[in-house]
Amino acid sequence: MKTTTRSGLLLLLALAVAGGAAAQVDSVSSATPAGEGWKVTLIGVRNAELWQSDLEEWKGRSDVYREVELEKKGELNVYGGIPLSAVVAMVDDADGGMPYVFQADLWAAGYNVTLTAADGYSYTFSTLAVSADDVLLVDRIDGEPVLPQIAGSITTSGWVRDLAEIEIGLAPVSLEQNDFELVLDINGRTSAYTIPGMEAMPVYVEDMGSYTNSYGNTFEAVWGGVKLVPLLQQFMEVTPETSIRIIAMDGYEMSYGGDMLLDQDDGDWILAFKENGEYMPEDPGYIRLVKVGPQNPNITGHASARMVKRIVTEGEPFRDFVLTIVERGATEVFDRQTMQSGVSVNRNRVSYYDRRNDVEVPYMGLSVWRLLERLSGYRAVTFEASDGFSVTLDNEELEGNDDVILAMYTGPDDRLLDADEWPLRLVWDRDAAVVPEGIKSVRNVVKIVLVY
Amino acid sequence: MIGKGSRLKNRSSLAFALFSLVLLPVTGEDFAFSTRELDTLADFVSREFDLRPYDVPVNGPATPRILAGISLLELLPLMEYVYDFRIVTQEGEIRFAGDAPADEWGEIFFVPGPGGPGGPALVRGGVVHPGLQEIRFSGERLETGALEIWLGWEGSTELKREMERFARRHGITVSAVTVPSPDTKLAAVVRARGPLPDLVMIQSSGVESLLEARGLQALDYLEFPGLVEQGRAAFTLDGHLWAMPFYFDTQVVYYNRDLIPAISVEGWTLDRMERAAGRLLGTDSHPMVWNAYSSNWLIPFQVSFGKVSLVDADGGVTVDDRPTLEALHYLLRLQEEGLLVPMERDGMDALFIAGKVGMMLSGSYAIPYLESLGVNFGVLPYPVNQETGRAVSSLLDFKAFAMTRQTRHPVLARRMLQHLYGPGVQLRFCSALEKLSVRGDLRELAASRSTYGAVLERTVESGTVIPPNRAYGVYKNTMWKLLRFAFSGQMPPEEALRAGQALMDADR
Repeated sequence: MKTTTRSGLLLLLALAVAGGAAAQVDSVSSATPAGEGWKVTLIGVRNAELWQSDLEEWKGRSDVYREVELEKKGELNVYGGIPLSAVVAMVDDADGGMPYVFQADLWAAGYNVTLTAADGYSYTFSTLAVSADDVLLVDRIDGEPVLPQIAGSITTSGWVRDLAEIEIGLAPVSLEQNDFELVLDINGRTSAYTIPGMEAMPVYVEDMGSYTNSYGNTFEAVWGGVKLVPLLQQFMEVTPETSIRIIAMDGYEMSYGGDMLLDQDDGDWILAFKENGEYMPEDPGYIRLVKVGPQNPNITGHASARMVKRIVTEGEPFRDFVLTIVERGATEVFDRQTMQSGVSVNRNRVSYYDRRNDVEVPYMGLSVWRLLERLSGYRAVTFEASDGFSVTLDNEELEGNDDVILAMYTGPDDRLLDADEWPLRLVWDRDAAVVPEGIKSVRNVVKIVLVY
Repeated sequence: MIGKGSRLKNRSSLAFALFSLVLLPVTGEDFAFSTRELDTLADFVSREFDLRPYDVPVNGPATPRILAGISLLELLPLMEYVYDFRIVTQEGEIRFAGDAPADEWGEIFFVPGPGGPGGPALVRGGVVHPGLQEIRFSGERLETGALEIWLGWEGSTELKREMERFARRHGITVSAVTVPSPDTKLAAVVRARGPLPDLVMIQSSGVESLLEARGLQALDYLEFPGLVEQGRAAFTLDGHLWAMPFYFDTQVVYYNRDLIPAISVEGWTLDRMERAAGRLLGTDSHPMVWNAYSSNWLIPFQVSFGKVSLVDADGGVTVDDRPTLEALHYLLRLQEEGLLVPMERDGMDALFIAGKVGMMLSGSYAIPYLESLGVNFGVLPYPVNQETGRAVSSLLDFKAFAMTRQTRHPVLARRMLQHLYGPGVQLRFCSALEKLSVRGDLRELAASRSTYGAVLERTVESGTVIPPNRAYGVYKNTMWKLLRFAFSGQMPPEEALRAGQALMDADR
């Protein structure tokens, strides 16, 4: 019987990863948030990344972080880190969702773990010979930060410094026969499909398609999958006003308008699970949204949602919006999908105090400084509403301030803003450590001007 | 506490052997060995394990320039790591700085007394420290274990012997297995998640596919003093060194001394080669034979006709260019004039041994084989193309030891690599098999011990390294068929090269 170690600590780890890892907006539809500082790549049944910022979050939010005194080279030092079990849990099963659960049975049954340093040094051990809780991924020695390394009850050869990668020797899930199911939730009616089931559908097609990421790299392939619109039309009428929400296995969300999905001039939107004849692994598969056709249509990366798990109709027409950011000598335009992409990987929640009604209202969106972190040299930021109302805030009070956000969602169910606030609202947390001088809540934000 | 080594003073030889057979992990210890103990140890490992002192080149004004020494890697227990390494000489105590003295063990040599003018000495980095009295260090002994090593190509017997001596000295179990194509097999076993060796012998052309299979670990963390740049280039891909070069072969001209008079290497050109071989036109012997169907014997001529780099900056190979076309035209002319008979290796070797060939172009690996058969032959470097002034460029074929990513004994495997790279193994192995050492600091010494060493050395500077890129394999396979069409007259050279280019481009 399969037993698992599920602990509150791991739950906290998961929350920390979800809440604190993100450092940049990934407009390539990246379902895995980036982080800050050093990074350890994790390869197993699925792939993941562990960032220094993740570990910092874990430290603050759980007691999984520990310190032990160990001897090396004749010196006793205090090593601080998290047990290998917590790290391996991120990739030892197909479930990319949270919380991560350490598969203790698999570890006890035995598989190989390969630790690789940045300089290439690799050490492999069998889990049969090592206790996953007695080996640490260390980030501090005697309280001083160090590059990630391994230490603990493992042979000295396994004390890998400047750790770059952990690979566990568990076979990847059989992509054709795994138990993954795509869920369609259409106006409350739920249907689930396995990959073999979808491959047998008459709407299964294979054709060329490509997407281009924010670095300008184009990825082209022959994709195999089911046409999205005909699949939806089994349950609903897809019109230009239809809005669907695609939710990835790790919580990433993206909304699509029916007008976009129905635009089939150059090809069809498909839920692809095969790339060049091969079933895709969990990341970027098992399912990825792409557009295919004889003309080899190209879409932007952020429109190509990956790790698709669930498709939900929002029951309301898709409303796009435009946020204009005026910089020195340039103007950027963000549409709803772009903002949603950013919010998905950098979601910040605040509790805004509505003085007029004397209530606290939850909002969720993107920290202002995150939105603008690619830019530099400006001293203030002006937020303009569609009616011309504006507020200018000193950038020194915005920089690194996660309590001041541009909200896109509100309420306990994270619904889109109502018409009187649409599309975005500048709000701040009532307990914010730094409340920028002169801040006022700005509804209907449509423009941001950087002041130099 | 200093002095654990000192406790060995009164132990028997067996105790010294057992000294290395520590099975349990231990933490840091302090060691001290007097020169008397080191002398006794040197005598012991020589008698018990046939690990004898060998020539160690030294730098600077030291006299003599070569001392007979043995590395600390062979002499002392294997160490996981070492710190606080110091020696005591007549001049006083010297503490050696550095993060990883244990990784230098293979390059630090004890010269038993009287050794040099100052008695027993220690040689480190080519510098002699005479008047040695004691070696002291702290560190952790390395857990012993078992290594599996896959070998290929020539010299497996000699290599197994070298490994076995070292393994017995340190209580290691080594399973050295000869595998026909070790790099190909490794890629397959990695993909199948089968049991993997710790070390595997590979050739440069196998690197890229092994990386794709995630079978190797980069060895950037290891220092290989004196490593020739061509050797590093042969196994460097994406900025990382993926294997420890061990030896290399070159290509030479073999000539039958019974058919062709002795030839001087001075003024040795293609024109002279043709005239020397042309003496056999009209006889029942072939003037020249080589495997012209193989790109390995096209590349030397491509370079001599002006090709600068075999692999382009974008990772591809270009053959529809002027140097390649001129090279192919040249070879076809030799064939048309009856000077060259293209022939695969087995047939060529058989005819050369039978005395029916004046000259053949082949790898230096054939020297011991021809010698063993008593063939009366001479060896010359490839000639210079008198039209371009560029030498026909010998293909330099490096063999190396790679460490698998999946090894469970990376430090033990590293110690074996360091042993194989040491002067003792390099000099013995390369001398016995007419191989070129990958160590620039030993090549002169190694060449002086070989009848053909000087000739082989002359080919190195102008040689072309077989690259680690996959493109080389594609090039070799593609041209194998097309060169046959060209030499059989079924396809004009221009068309053969165009077709080759199209096929290679399609395979990228």
